[in-house]
Amino acid sequence: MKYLDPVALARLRNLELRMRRSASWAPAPGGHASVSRGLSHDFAQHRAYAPGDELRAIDWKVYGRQDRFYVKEFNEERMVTLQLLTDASGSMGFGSKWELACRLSMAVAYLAAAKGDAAGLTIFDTEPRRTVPARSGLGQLEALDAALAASSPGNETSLARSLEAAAGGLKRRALVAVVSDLLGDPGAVVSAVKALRARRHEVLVLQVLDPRERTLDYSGPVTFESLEDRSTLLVDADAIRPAYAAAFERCQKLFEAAFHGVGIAYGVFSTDVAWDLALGRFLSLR
Amino acid sequence: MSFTQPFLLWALPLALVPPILHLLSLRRARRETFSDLTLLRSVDAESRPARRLRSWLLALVRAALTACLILAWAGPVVSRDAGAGEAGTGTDLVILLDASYSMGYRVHGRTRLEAAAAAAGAVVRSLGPGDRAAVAVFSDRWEAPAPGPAWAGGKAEALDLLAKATLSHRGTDVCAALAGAHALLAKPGTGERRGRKVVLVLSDGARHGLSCPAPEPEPGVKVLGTTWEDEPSNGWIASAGPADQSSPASPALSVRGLGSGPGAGATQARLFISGSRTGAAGLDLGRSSGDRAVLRLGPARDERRPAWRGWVELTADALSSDDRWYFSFRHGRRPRALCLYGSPGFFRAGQAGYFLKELLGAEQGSLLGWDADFLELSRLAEAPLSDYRVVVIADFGEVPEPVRTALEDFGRSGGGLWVLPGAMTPDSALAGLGRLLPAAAGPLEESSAPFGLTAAGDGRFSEFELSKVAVRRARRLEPRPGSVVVFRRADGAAVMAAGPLGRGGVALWGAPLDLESSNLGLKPAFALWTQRSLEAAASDNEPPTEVLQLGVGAPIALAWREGEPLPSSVKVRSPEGRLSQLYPKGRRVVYEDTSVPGLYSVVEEGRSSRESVYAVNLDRSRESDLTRAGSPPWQRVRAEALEEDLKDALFGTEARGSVLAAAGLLLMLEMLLALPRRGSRVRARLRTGAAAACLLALLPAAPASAQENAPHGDRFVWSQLKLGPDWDPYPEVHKDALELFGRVTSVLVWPERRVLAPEDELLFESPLVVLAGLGAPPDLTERQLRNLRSFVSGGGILWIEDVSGAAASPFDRWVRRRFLPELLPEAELAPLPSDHVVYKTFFFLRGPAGRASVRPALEAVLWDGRAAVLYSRNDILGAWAKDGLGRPLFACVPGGEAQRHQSRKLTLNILMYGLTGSYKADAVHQPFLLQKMRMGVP
Repeated sequence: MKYLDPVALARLRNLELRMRRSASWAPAPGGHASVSRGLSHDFAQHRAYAPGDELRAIDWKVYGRQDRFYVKEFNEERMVTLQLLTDASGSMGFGSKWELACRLSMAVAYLAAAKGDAAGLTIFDTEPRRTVPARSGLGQLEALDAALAASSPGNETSLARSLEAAAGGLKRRALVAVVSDLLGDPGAVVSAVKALRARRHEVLVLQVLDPRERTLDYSGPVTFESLEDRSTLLVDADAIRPAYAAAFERCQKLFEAAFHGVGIAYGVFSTDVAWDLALGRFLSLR
Repeated sequence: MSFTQPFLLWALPLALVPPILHLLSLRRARRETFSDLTLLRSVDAESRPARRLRSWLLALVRAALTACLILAWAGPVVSRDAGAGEAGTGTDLVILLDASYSMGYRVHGRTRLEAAAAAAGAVVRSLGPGDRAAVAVFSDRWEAPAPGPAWAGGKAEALDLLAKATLSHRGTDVCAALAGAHALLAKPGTGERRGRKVVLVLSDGARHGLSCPAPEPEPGVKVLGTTWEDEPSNGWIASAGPADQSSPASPALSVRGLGSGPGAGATQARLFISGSRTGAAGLDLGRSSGDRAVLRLGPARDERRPAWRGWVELTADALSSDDRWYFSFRHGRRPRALCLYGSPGFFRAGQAGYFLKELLGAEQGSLLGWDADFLELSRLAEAPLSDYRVVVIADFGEVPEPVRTALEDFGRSGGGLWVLPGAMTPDSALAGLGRLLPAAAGPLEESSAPFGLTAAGDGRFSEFELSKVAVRRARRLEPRPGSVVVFRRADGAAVMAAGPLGRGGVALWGAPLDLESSNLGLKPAFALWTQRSLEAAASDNEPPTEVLQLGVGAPIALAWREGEPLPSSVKVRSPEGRLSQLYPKGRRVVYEDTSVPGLYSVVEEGRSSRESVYAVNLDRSRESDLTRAGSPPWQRVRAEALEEDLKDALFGTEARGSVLAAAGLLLMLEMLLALPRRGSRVRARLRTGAAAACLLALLPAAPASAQENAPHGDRFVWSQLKLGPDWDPYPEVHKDALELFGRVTSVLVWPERRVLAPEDELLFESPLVVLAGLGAPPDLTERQLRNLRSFVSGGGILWIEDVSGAAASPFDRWVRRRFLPELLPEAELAPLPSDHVVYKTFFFLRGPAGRASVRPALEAVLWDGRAAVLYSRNDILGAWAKDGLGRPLFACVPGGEAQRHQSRKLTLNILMYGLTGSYKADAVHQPFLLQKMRMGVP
């Protein structure tokens, strides 16, 4: 696999993708804890027998000691569906952002598959371009990696519209991981991501950035050409840098506040920082 | 504005280079791809106007910065006076150096005259080959050269005049000096030179020198005058003389003090008689009208000559020459008569001497206002005639010629002579005195019927019945022209006549006083008769109080009337001890060399020598007031930066510094404009640092001594002179000494010492300076000597330590034979008595101490009542020296450790003496301590 090589697998050994809340809504048994009682190896409690309980649930050892019927209950474990929404717009081709996005997508998919969850992928720019339906099992990773390797960033982006389209394809509640640079209109991006949360999906936002996008580390007069629409802009980088950096930071604060307010996990991944470390920190703080 | 290198102005178009470069740089934008331009575009739209403004402002600032640098290189010069003259045509400089006594105002140990002369010397040395200078030293007259200013033959001549300038004791007349300078510049020949004409007045700029309107200078003549940084304060004694209530029995001196300036305030006037302080009184000189005080004088040394002389002085201030006032006055003496008698039975009962002695010389004192001494006529030579107002010659026989001459001289020089011939006096004796007597006396006649007396025109006798006086024997008197009859017989004949004799007078009584001749001695009127007779004989020319007071430069003139005996010579001793002998010429003697204030002793040598002391003082009616003139008739230049200000005034002010400062400001502005745009903070800080360094380089260099002048606060600093190769025999001693000094006393000390050169001005920051040595140091220069002399004479104490510990050493020879005679030639090195205050300033010591015991006493040069130089040969510092392990380096012999302990105590005492002087001896703190004890304050 291109983006899930043995080195990457070794780095992911100690990571785990946990649900922030109970996964009781998940339709099938799996590896995620649930508040419901069901069949699992995780003993929960003894309860006095009530008519209607299955006889196989009675703990006969307790009956032998107590001379009363008690039922043995276990915590139920459910299987979750992970839906990866990976941005392949032109802006993701800046620097090594696409490479990082692919690695993050595959890492999250691997963590889900390792837990027995189903993982699916939608690659989008202005609209969903390539979709891999969610399936469980490690074999699914091959399909995901192939889809990512076959894609490349290039077109314009409309993150809001793409997310709405991708969310429309999710029939059940799922764990949605958005991997994007979130560049564009911040208000629209926040609205689209919040819409996912509104549909009761568990949402992860993994923002992929290049350091130059944060600091505008250029000097002198520069004509910038956009990777999305090929438009240009002449600026004095030295003069605009402070204002740009301040505006960028304001935008990041906006994302942070908006996502935190609705319980969306939000992490920033920079291309100059090792992705496994950043992912580990993200998952542990989540 | 002009430029010293105007061709560099052609480079001004280079100022356009920064804007052009700025524009070109905008054109050379490189192309970069970027992920998304949405945010960048919105930010660019918001900040574009401000960035465009800042970018053009930056271009302008860079252009201005370039222009400033080019202007600075071109040497801009700003001149206030465009008509100052053309460069290179020469300068005629007339330097007027004020040498009045107010120029003795001392700052940092140097008088204003010395500072002005030094500054003028630098100006003269900086003159170019086409320049010429005239130097004139003036006060209220031309001091040097005497005729007035003249062009010097060269720099050396001008410098010589400046070097020889000394303070006079006279006032200031700047106007006359300016008139002389203008006259020199206007002389034919001078005006043909096409150069600058400058008059430089080196004065204190006080208003006392500008009492008259200053003469207007010729067109083209620039007048410059010095101004001084500090605001002068001065207190002085305006006058001192006998107080109104002063009398021979209760003499008193009235002192009036004045002050000017912000520092004038309460001070003390101290009275000195015969060089010893005998009294003091407080004066508040802060009042606008000054203050008065009355000082009680002690009794006169000779009550027959009740005279007082001495001086009153204030606590010394920056101008010390007017702090002392010399006085000399004498009160009129109580009249005293000398009764000469020729008969051995003069004092027998019933004889004339009996009555006179009962009246004038009784054991219980004189019954009249006169005192009298009685002496045989033949012993006249033993009597000091100048002590008497009247000589009575009674019951005499033949009068020897020397006696006659002495009596005649006495009368002619102002004394009175009363002739009382007795019954045994021969006619020939009276004939011998004939030329002195106011009347011709006939032979003694005996009247069968006694006759009475009448007083001629004297109402005091109206209460007495003179007519009942019975005179049996009398001589008939025939008054000479000019004489008057004092008493007459009842028949109208004169029995007593009086007349002049030189400056004095003479009276002749024609009847013997013995009871056989008359009963006058038994009558109540006898006392009044005696009084009247003495008054008739005595001259009335002695004033009640005579003040012998002169101003500096006023001659002492003595004159004798016709007929008055002339002294053989007159000896005048000046305050400096110079003795002059003068001989009367035309019955006058004039002593004119009263150029120095002080007491001048004038002794008239003759048969009876007479001494008078004249007090000569500075005329301080105007000169001592150092208040600055409001608008002096000159352009001010700073005395402290004379050369620089003079050049500025003549050639204009070089504005390069200002332009560079402006460039620095522009650079700072450029930094501020460019700072946010430069990449990393490190680079920004580097640029800021570079700019700050440039600005610091532009600032004028701070005075090098500024940091050294005031780092120590009020702490005592061990100051040590670096003189000779062995100046520092014990480099670590001061640390131990200061540590103990600070610990034992409450004095705050500075742990490090200050090493000074003899010419160092910091000398005057130190109350006590240590000079240690082993070998002979090199000879001192004149400047070094002058500096050291100013230090020790101005209040500083020099502690000299011979560390050889040997009976003879090269250092000791140098101190005694070379150093001290040159430093203080007026005073001598002498052993200090064991009760000197240096032995009790902190510890009570009985004598000196040190590592060795070479001398049994500390030696010192006393100056103005204090030990200005302390000299120890016992190596006190050596007793402190330690080795690397902290053990004493030398053994103290012969006393051992006890002697070392004493040495340490003596060191602390000397340091304390340097700080407190004679504080312990004056014991001014005792009343305060006693008061505290009485009040129970712990």
